Amino acid sequence: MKDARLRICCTFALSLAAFCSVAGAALVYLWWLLFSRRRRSLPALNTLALVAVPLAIAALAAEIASGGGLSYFFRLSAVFLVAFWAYGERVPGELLGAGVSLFGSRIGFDLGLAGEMGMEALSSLEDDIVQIRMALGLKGKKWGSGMIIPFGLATLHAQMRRSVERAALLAVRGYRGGGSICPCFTRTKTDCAAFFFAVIVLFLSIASLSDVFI
Amino acid sequence: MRVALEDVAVSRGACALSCSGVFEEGIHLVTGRVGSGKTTLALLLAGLLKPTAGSVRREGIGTLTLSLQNPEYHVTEATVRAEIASYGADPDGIADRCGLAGRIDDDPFHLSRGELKRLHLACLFAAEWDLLVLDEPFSSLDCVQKRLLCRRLEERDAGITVVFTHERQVLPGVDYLWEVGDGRASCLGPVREAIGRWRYAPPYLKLAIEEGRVPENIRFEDARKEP
Repeated sequence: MKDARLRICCTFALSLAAFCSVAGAALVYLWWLLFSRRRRSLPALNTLALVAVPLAIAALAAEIASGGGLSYFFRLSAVFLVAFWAYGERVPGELLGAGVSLFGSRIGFDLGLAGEMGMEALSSLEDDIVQIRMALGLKGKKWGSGMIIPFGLATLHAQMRRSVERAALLAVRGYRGGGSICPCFTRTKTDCAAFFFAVIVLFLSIASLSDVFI
Repeated sequence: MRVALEDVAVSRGACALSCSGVFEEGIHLVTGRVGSGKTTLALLLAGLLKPTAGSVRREGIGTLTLSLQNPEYHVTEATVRAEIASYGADPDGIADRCGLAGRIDDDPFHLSRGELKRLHLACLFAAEWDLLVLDEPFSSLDCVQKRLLCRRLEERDAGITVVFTHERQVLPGVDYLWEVGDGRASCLGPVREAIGRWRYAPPYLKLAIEEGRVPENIRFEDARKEP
């Protein structure tokens, strides 16, 4: 999906729909099959496992403790599927444009900038993790529970250093809040159809089926 | 002892690279623009990345290591002493050599990036490596430390050393020049023959060539020598 504004709206609508009800989540799966790039919309298998395993554990615990764990897993998996799709479709800089376009040059710019920095941090985190694992391997350290603290510290340090450098860069450039940008968006018919169906999915997940079909 | 790359193709993120060539014993300097694929080639040489096509043959290489561009990635211990020991090196000797004797019980993350880089490189040089791959070893170092690093590199009397760098002022004497660009890594040849064809030559070398001199190597002093 090329239009970042439509993608953001779709992400909100579909996430809400998936979280609200099991029927909504089922419709989100259907939407994902129709409009995502399927396998190419998913991250690497180990990243997928990193998300799916804790989710499955939390769902299992909920199922044992009070029930509803299966529904939780089904709904949250749909939310993550939408998140993976939105993350995979992103283009650097577009959140800034979408923020300004939706909320103006003051709050919109700041929101867009925060979003961009968050996305960039996620992207750099992927690279940090890969390189830290390589560095551990070079030292002959085996990946295990003993490595969690050094790994976490190195990751945190890399992110904090990057944040400090970025903050200094913004200050040097005179950033004090807000800014101007002239965003340009292109959209296809498929983008519009995906957005339309995302809204329908949200509507159907919130409204009672009997209200809709009688 | 050599590393032979035969019709190798490799991709990492948006970067795709192809390469054929042999890394013989000696110092190889690899240059290229940002994002051209230097780190990808470094990872490939160190065996941390698998080629999508072709083969990488390491002949006679018993020990190898890679220094990543960011020294923080290598930190695994809570003190400088333990960090040096994690490389199997002598903590007191290395800390003394790096000028960090007074900070041996500090957290490595409390060191500046330059100090951490110096510490990491000193730990690597404390061991014998058949293949030593250094990705941007000069970054974060001041001129004095860069010169010391050049000396350490030139003192290595055996093995293959591959240096990937953007450095344009303080360079060691090397044996071979390589370039990475347009999705391809290629060997320009032994340094004396290759200097004239080196696109990323530092300004002092280009000036020397313009003045009709052919430096024997790529160090600043080589460019100033009269023929």
